[in-house]
Amino acid sequence: MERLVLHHQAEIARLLWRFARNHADLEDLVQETFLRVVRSIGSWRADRPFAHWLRRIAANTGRDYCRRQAVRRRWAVEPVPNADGECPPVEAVDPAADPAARAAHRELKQLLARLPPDDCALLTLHHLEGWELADIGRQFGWTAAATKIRAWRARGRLRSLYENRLSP
Amino acid sequence: MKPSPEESARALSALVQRARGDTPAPIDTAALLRVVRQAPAVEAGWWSDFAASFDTRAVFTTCSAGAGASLAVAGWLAWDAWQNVLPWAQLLSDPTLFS
Repeated sequence: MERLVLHHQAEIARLLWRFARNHADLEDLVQETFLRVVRSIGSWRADRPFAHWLRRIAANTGRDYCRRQAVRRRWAVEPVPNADGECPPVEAVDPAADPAARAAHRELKQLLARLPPDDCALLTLHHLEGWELADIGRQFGWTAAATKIRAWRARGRLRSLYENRLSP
Repeated sequence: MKPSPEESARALSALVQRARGDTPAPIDTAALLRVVRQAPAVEAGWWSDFAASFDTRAVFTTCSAGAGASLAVAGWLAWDAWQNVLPWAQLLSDPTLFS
């Protein structure tokens, strides 16, 4: 099991980074994913690729995270301004190899976080991870038509949020 | 001034492309291995085997909810029928009825 964890942890961390708000949340999500793997290893069928099964568990963990974040946002209080009148940053600043990519990623995640959780998970997997809509539909138990319609609507909502951010 | 839909769509695509280039810092593998080592063993049993026979958790949850709802309706019907039968049963069990 440990060999499997070491072999797949980087790929799973890269996938879950698309969902996580900060590095601490990422560590938690990776741990949660591998704990789910340990608990449900009996349901893995040997005729299916392990990496594919693992990615499916990670994607479900990411979607559950989106749902938890949506609930938290609903009940969260407004950030308290400090002495300078500025609100403290919501997420910790993690070291990035490419600061421009990190800034873009953070901005996109903030926009995605304002969508319904399932839309957030769908667009995250489709746009950032390059998953096919059919695969996402199978993953979350949606029909192909329902997935396409949901993706179209979610993209519209995301574009609208982005336009609002662009306009002063 | 609000940008045109084409402009914002292009800008959003560019943002997505830039965001794809972001990679996370390495995670703490020592802590991850510790957690995995301490994880409880797989609980074998008929319930876990039964749950694992479903493709997704959503299917399992839906089937469980359906079974629960059917059970509730059946229970209510049985209780209702018993309430109708009870007075007759009490009447017929009265020893003075046919004396």
